[in-house]
Amino acid sequence: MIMACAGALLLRLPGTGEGSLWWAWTLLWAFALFNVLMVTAGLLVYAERKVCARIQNRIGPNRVGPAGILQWIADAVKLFLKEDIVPDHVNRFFYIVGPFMAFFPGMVVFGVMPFGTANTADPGAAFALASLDVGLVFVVALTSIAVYGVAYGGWASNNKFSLLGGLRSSAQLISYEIPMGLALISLIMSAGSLSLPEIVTQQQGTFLGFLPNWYCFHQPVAFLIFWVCAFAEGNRLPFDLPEAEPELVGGYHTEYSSMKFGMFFLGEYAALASMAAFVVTLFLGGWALPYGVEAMLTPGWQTAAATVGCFLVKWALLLFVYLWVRWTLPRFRYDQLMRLGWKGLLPLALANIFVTGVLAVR
Amino acid sequence: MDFLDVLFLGCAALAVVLAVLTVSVRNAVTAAFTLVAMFFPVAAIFLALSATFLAVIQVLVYAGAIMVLFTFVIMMINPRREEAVEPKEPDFRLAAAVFAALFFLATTHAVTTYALSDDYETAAPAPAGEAGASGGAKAAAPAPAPAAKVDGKWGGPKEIGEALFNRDQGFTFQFEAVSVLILVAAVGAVVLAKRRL
Amino acid sequence: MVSAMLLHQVFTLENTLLLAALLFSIGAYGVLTRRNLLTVLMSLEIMLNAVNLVLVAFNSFQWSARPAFEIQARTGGQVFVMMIIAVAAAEAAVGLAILVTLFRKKQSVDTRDFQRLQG
Repeated sequence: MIMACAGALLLRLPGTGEGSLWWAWTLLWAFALFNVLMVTAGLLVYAERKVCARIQNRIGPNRVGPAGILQWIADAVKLFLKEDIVPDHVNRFFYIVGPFMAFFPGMVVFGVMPFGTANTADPGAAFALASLDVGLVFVVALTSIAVYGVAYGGWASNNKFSLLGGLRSSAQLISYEIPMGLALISLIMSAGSLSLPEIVTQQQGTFLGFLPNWYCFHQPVAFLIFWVCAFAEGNRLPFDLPEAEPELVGGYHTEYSSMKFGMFFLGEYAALASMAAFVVTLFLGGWALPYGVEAMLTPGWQTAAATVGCFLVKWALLLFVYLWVRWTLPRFRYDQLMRLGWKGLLPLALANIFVTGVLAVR
Repeated sequence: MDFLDVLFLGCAALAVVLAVLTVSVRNAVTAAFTLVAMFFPVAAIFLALSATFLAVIQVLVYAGAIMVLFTFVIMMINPRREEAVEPKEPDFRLAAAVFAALFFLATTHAVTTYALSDDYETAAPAPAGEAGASGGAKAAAPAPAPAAKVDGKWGGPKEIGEALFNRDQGFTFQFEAVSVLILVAAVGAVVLAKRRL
Repeated sequence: MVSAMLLHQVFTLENTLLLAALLFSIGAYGVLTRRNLLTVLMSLEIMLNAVNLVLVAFNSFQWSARPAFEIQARTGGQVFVMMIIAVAAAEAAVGLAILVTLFRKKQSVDTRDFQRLQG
């Protein structure tokens, strides 16, 4: 929490001139975003259980609150009330720091995500904690740091299964970061900007006359690669080897209990939510309304409500697809996972950069 | 002292402490952790120097790629034996410390003696007595340096890209040379580390 | 003393250079004294980072205020830093590959175990 606020303050450095109260505003924003994200992660857990139940022809949680909607609070309380065991054989410092390192990046990524705007023509009017002109690279940088939580968590547990689990999942994360970055490069080549609000602003209007002008239609291959990698980065099925309980004895979090396990768990959902928001922003138009709807709205609160709503709808739909995939597809074997990353996605991404370079450079 | 000064002081102190920890702790995993942590205050100083792009690249490449590689290798080979080994001979450590201190003092002398903040072409050595008497880096600078512009536009990707890929005076050749170097390094690393090709 | 410090501007070119020099000295000390090859490589990264800091500091304090110069001169320092970071990445990859090979040979990363070239 404190780290998130400090990060937010740093992000807003370029806005120092906006007035003496800028830091108070920043803290307030950061606090609000933090809470929104926590609730989102909680609701996502609930949604996961419900969707999973539906797909498996069950009912799912339905006791706590209407239709079980408060189940996630009950889950959280349960996790917090459990005994917090720190085994004797662990490296105490890294055992405690690990979950925080896994939790932190997914939170901070939201600081640069533009989730709406008051004026669709002006990228500067986007609602974001910080409109960095390097926002895209910033998000990639933070995602690449998420490896540490997993690696250190597994190492500090001082248990060969945890260590192997941590190494396995950090190898997975590193491998899939590369095609992910290369897919982003071809996106950057057609967008010509690293600023997220700018990229969203470019995605308004129509493409080929009938499609929304979203980058998933300009760059379908990059979109596919990026999305697959986003699944792998979020440790979601079909790439959830880090937590394959039956055949691989869990993974890096085998030795964790109570709140620290909760941090890993919640951090995973926060990372999932922020990754989905990132995909929406880059490839699915972010807050951009399709088919020129924004021309019918007056700039101001109408536009603001419509764009924020648009972003939320896209985000929720994408998250639903994540859950859907998880409960539909089987898990990869580890060598299949590595082969897909290095021999499938990586050459494809390189070829895509080449094609983009030939076709789309302005 | 405004916000940037406080930020600089805090980040500088943090970076120095973490760097000292990195070179002094016994355990390689802890050293890697403190080094990763050291990159963040340095990136924050880059940010305060309005080199936004470099700050992010610093985190992305150093913390996100290089140190991940280090951590991975450390955990893979797991050199526990190192912790029991006693450090090098004390006289050698003393010599190294003296060398490092001498280097630092020489740099300090150079920085405080020559008026860097002035135009460097016309900079002349300030009278040594004056610099010594007034004591420290602060007094030696006749005029305070113009504070870095903190509008976020200076070190952005656009400016760096323009400088890097300018048609006439850019660094295109150097860029290509570095990319070839990286390719060679990647292939070389695979050749070296793979057991059977 | 403290109040005098509070009045001064701390974030200057000189102080940034001093910080870089300090970091460089710390890194040099680590390279000279450590026996674990991994830590030696890490100390090397500290030294590289100190150099980056020098380049960015000079660039930012000296050149950003001179819009009259062409863009190469004004952002040249930052371009150098990018090159250094790229070379550092290459260095880390090759260095770690060598280290892994050495570890396979000797089951150790201690510098004293690799003295066969010494006469």
